Amino acid sequence: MTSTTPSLLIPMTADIGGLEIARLQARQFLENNHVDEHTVAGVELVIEEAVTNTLRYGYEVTDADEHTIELDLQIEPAEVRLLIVDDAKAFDPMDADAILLPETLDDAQVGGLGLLMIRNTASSMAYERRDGCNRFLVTVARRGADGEPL
Amino acid sequence: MDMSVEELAGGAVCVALQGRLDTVGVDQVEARFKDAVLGTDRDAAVDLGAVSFLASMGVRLIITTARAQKARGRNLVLFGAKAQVQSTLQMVALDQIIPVLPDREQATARLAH
Repeated sequence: MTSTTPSLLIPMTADIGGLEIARLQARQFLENNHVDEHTVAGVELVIEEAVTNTLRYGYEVTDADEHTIELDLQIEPAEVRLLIVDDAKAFDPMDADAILLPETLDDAQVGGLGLLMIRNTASSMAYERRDGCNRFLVTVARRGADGEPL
Repeated sequence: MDMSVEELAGGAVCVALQGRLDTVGVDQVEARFKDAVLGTDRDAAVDLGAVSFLASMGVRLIITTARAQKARGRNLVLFGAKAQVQSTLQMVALDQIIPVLPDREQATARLAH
């Protein structure tokens, strides 16, 4: 007997409108496959933060509409795997310095928060630059009805 | 993303946000939010009870607004966050630098001191 892993490839335009459409497609796909809400929100957060970083820093302002970003989702029994592929400037999220948590309002950094949130949400991350593209693989652990990891 | 503004007992402005405080949501609400908080010389409370999702852009909006409040000698507190939003506030240690209170009553009391 063979089992298939539910998967969905979402090509999106490299802009905020494309991000919103892709996020909604990802949510619907995960919900249709009975992924718990905590995990769905985690995947949405990773999409939001990773793609927003790419849109803000990865492309020249004038050429953003000439690019596409692909989100590849796979639902495994214990985790959701999200592969984000873009042709933006090379950027390894694993190399970026971790920001320090603030002790006062004056200390608080407003840059780097997205990466911090991805690192705190992901159960694993991997990056490679291949064929002129960034390939960022993030897994988010699924949870059971009791809220504990499966 | 939507928002409404009212006054708390004691005179502080209360801004209630509704929806997703992500990149799209912040784009929709940032100017109105800052105007509601900073456009009047009062302390402010932000009701997060109807915020379903908080992303880094939302955290950034809260930090920059709270900092502007502090710079002019005014306070900003947050209240009513549901578990998922509360978890994000803790993840980025926002609850260590801005008062995060469970409900409107405690927010009102905090700003009265």
